[in-house]
Amino acid sequence: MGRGKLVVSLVAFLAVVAGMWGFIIAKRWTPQLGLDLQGGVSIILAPAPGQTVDLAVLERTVGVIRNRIDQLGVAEPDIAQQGETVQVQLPGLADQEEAEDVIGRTAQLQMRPVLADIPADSPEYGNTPPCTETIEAVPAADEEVVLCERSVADAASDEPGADPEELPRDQWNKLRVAPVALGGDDIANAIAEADPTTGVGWQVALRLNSGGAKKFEDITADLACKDLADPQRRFAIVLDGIVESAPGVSEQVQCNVGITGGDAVITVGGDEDEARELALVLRTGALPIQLDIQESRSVSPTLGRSSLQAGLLAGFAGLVLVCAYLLFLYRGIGLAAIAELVMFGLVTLGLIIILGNTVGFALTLAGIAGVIVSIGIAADSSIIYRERFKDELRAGRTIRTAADKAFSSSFKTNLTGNTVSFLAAVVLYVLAVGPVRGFAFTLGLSTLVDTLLLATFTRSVFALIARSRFARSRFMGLRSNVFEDAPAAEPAGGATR
Amino acid sequence: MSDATTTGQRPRRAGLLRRVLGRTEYFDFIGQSRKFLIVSVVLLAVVAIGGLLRGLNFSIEFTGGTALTITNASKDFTAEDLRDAVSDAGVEGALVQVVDGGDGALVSTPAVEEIGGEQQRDMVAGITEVTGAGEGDIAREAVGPRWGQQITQQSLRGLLVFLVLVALYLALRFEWRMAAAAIVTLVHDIVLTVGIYAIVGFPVSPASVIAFLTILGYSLYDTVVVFDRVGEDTARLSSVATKTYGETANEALNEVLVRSLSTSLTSLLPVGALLFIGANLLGAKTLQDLALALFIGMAVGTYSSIVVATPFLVWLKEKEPRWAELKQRVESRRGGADRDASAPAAVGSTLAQSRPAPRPRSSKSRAKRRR
Repeated sequence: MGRGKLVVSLVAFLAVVAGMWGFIIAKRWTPQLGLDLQGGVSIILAPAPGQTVDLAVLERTVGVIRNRIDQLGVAEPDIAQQGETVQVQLPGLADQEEAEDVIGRTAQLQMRPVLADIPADSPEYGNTPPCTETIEAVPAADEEVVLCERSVADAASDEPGADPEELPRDQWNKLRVAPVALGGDDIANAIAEADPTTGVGWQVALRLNSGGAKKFEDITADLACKDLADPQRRFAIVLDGIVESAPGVSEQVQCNVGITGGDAVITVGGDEDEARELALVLRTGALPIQLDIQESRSVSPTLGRSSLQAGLLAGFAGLVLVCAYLLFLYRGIGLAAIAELVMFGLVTLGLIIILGNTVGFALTLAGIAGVIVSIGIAADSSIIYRERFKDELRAGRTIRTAADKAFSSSFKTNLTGNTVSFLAAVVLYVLAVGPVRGFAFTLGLSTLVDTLLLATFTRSVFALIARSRFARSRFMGLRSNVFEDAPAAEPAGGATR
Repeated sequence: MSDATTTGQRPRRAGLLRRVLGRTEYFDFIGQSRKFLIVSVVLLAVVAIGGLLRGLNFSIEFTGGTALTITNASKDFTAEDLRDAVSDAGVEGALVQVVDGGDGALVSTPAVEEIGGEQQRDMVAGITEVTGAGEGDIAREAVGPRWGQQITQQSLRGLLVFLVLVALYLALRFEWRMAAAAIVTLVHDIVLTVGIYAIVGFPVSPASVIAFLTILGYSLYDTVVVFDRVGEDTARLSSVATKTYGETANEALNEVLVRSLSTSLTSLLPVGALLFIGANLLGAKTLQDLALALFIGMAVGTYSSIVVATPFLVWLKEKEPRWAELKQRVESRRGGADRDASAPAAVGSTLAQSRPAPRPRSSKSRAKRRR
């Protein structure tokens, strides 16, 4: 490459970097930080085993979760589907427990007419799955099933206002219930309200849509024809596979008329929070599948900030140490190596900021680690180039040709080595989950920047210096290996001149 | 430079570092490969036995479990109080540590029944009661048991895919023997690093897995740089060459030695900074785990790229008839002209001697440089 071309390539490179940073500064862009650096709650959910899951179902699931989180009022939530998992990220001061309750709950609501009580001493009670086992949240909608009923101790109901004691699961009642008469799709709205009769407990008032209201009217009209004492004059309100309550149809309801108006109420045992969360999940609809929380973590914003500071400090300290070493090793031309590292840092950081603001790439701790690791990779390119240059000098080339020759062979080496690193980054990115991806992304990115930098900036600067009159100055350290005990092989005059 | 002058006046010259950096020190890695083989085999045997005896200490991300970091505790409490509070919620086997002079605590438990379920809620309620910390002061990280298995499987699958791709790439770019030698080196590095982890008992977290994967990249990168040079230099060898494949490879190894050492140092410096700074920060476990594994792995990788990769490659190559014949021919020729150390033909044979052989420099090159 002639001098003119070298200058052009250097100027073009600097112009692109300047343009990139000018753009970033003009737009006032800052890096997008991951949850571990800015604090927040991260929850990963996966379908419970034994369900058939396809893409459409997962997309609907993500949609429902997004709705629910919007109602929680968290700023800038990030909900993404990755493989079969759903990842939810809530930045800032999100309430981890509330998020877990709202996101993970299937909220599969079913209203089914009761067919029979199954008392604990009947043989059928023992033959059906015990209530202590994990209960399937989505019981078959179109067949008769036996379900467990959340039961409270009788004594508690004597003291009005007291929180009734819930019985342990092995003492729960079981009910045989008919196919679903009314489902979650029939709900138009759900609101948490204080129990108007006692004024202490909380309940969720349901407003049914027109289709739901009609269905509700039909089944209550049917049930009202049964005898008041008949256990079948009841319908079970089933939430996530558990019968929450099985109210009877009151005697005011007339046979074949039913309850009109489309209002229903679910009483819940818990407090206001629980009622509100239940109302929220009912309002936003059921998840089409049952999800289990696989991982849930929260990071406080202060911890996030100190992690960020530690990461930046480590990166800076590493950079300074590497620069000092390069200067020690290469003297004057080591300064050019430092400029290369600085350029590497500018380009990589600039790309991270741009990608953060365009495709939403968030910088995590693992990502910072990836960048720090890549400092080593960038320094390595400078070292390979310079060592190669020394080899060429030793082989008897002039400074100028040695610089050019060293570029072509070190570029080849760099390309081979970086192909392997890049391959590693791509495989990691495609196959891994969670923090590994952030790491792989920055590692792959820095590998590309490294090769690009070597081909433009490093090459031009080195070759131009080699062509300049500074090249022969002792300070540059270009003339021969500065550490070589040259006098042993050369006349002393050559070294002391 | 003034120090060049002073060293010139002293025949015994400066320290090893200076001689290595100035490339006047020559090492016979290939000739000594038997010794290195013994070192590597002993190391591998030690970590393999130690590793099998102790097993890896997996973090909760793999085994499933809950880790709670409690800050701003306002009440006086002991680790015993905290352990009781946790076991009252029905969670047994918790590890409890009081930190920050009683203002904070770390609690880790085996997997709870259901993340976000009642048991977990009871446990958190118990902890807030004992410590007086608000719920917002408890950072909780909970992982289900199935999830850890999935991560492990995915990591292993990634590793396998990566190895196959790299072997293919190296076989295409160089040749299959180099690919084989690179993979053997890689396995050596991973076994050694993981073994050290097992013996010392460092916890293996996702961050350490990231680091292990990076080490793969590094180890390969290092090996590739060396092989690139070996390939370039040995390509010039003809059947009438005066040096064997092994000697040429050894020279190539020495040529890239400064680069290997410098690169390792420039990689270790930032990682060392990460390790040091990460260690002084509560909660920045990711940084620390990552840096620790990288630090160990890079050290191992540097060692192996020099004394495992190339000797193994030479061993493979000299089984090839072409290089085996060359070796035989060179050795028989040398038998006759053994004492003629100054002849360029014998450069290879002087490699094994402790006094470094001068780099073959033509007088023409010196003349050019002084011009």
